[in-house]
Amino acid sequence: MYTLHAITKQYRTSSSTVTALDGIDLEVANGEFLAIQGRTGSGKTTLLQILGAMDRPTSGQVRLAGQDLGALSAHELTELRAASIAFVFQTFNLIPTLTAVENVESALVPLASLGPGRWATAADALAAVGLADRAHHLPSQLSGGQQQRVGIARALVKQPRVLLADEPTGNLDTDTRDEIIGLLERLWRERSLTLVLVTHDQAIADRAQRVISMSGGRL
Amino acid sequence: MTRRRFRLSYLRAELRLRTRHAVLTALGLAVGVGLVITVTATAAGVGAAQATVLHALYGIGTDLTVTVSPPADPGGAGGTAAGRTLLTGDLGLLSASETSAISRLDGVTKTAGGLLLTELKPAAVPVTVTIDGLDLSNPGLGPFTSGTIIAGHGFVASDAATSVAVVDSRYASANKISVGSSVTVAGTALRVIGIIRQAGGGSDIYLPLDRAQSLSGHPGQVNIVYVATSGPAQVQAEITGLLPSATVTSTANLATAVRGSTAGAAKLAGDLGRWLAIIAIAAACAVASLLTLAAIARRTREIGTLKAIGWPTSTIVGQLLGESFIIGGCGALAGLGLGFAGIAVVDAIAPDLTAASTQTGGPAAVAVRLSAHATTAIISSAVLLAIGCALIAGALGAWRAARLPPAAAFTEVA
Repeated sequence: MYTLHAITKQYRTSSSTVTALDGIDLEVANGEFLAIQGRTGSGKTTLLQILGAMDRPTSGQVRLAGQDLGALSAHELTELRAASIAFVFQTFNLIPTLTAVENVESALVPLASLGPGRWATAADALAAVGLADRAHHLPSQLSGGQQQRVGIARALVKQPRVLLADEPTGNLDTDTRDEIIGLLERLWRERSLTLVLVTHDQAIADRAQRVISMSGGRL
Repeated sequence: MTRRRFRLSYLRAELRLRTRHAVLTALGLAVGVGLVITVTATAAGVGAAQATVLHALYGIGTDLTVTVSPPADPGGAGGTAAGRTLLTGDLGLLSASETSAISRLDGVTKTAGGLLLTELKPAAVPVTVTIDGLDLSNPGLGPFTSGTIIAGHGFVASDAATSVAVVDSRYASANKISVGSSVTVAGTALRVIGIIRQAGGGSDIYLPLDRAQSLSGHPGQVNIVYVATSGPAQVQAEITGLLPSATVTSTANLATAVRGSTAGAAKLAGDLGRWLAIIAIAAACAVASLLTLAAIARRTREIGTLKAIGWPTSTIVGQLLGESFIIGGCGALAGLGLGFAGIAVVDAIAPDLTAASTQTGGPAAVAVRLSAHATTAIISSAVLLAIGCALIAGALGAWRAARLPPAAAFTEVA
């Protein structure tokens, strides 16, 4: 699914240049469940952003299903994210003013082709994560685990090819953590997703097909 | 359609759950709009009051007045000689030939002579009565034209040689005069044929010019000439050439020569009011912009998330501008309410404005009621200003949002 070659990412500050990624070469197979581990500041999130077409590398090449992401315009990258790449965030990132079903529906807004069936599609996605009865609740009225379920429903409602998860259980207690990782694992299997998951948690990493570790911007 | 439904739902939810920001922004705009409406309406009211004063002092349709100073010798043509009860005061006399010469100048479309007189009525406390002799052969010029006949009727051409008078409503009321009764001028009884109400005052008694001339002992003479022109500036110069000692006053001259509270209020409204309105709306814009930018800063992760899940920047910008448009509309409506409340307060507490002309001619002093009034143009402008300010604020916020990268979804800022 992904082919990364000699990826570097540098950030310039007023006094120095910080290298977040330093010559990354990586292959991620279609349908693979890959866990990325590493200490804070090792470059995990930067790598996830580049995989998610949210940022461009300073040098090197990223291919997704054979397509060179470096050759795409900002608008094309936006369309790619809208249709094919989904994210699950550590802090859930739900829109606080929208209900659960509206948050899920927000992922379908850029996809005009769905038309009038969009709300029903969002409600189905919410039901698939076990929150049909919480459709009209605001995020503030949901527990952390329920909010992350909404986040997962929002990620998967558009039937993406890739799911990128950044510490999806980082803000949850142990029981809820197991529940969420179990849900992700089930959806990965059912939908043949390519799942790339950043985690500190060895117990979660152990459930992945492959684990890579990062340190100082390198694998 | 469904995309629009979702965005409207999102917009409504944002406004409902971020009420504090929406209310504060709308309130800031409302105060600015309210101030603009109040100040502008007050300035318009002052302008209207000044126009009323000018009409009363000058007369509708009159472009210029011509007067001369009296000679240094009070017993001469100035007409304050002993033995006469009707005095021409601080105005000198113009002959019939001089009036005729003015009427023949290029650009002069109409002239009318007038004789402004005062009579000192002997009493325990002597009373001064102001009298105006009207040229009935050339009606339509002079201060009399700005009044309204409220009883009886005005003059007709055939009244020129008769002993009739029209009396000011306040003078009539104070002296219990009605249509059909008589008033005495220089010992001669004049039959009252009409009562006139004048906006800000005027002469007490009006009578035909011929009668005023004969009663005052100035046959064929006037002490003011009212002139209608096709080009006031050119005619003003011609009259000055014809009569170098004459004082030629135009509407513009008179406006600057008006002294009293209307002049002060007009200047205040024109200068301070204008700047106050500009400062108020600028402050409203600044407040709205700062609040919007602060709100965008608090929504960094939300905007980053929308970008991360594939919302185009144009959709996000449209969403933010929509919110600003609604807030601007609410601010405009609230501002209209504040503006009308401000107008009501001004109307309730504003004193009567007085004015007097430092130029000669017409009544000496006029008092008018200041009434602030908002026009459709003022209201439309204020509403557009509020919405414009909100959109500027929204555009600033949207510009900031557009610059945020999708990676802002990972920011730790809540």
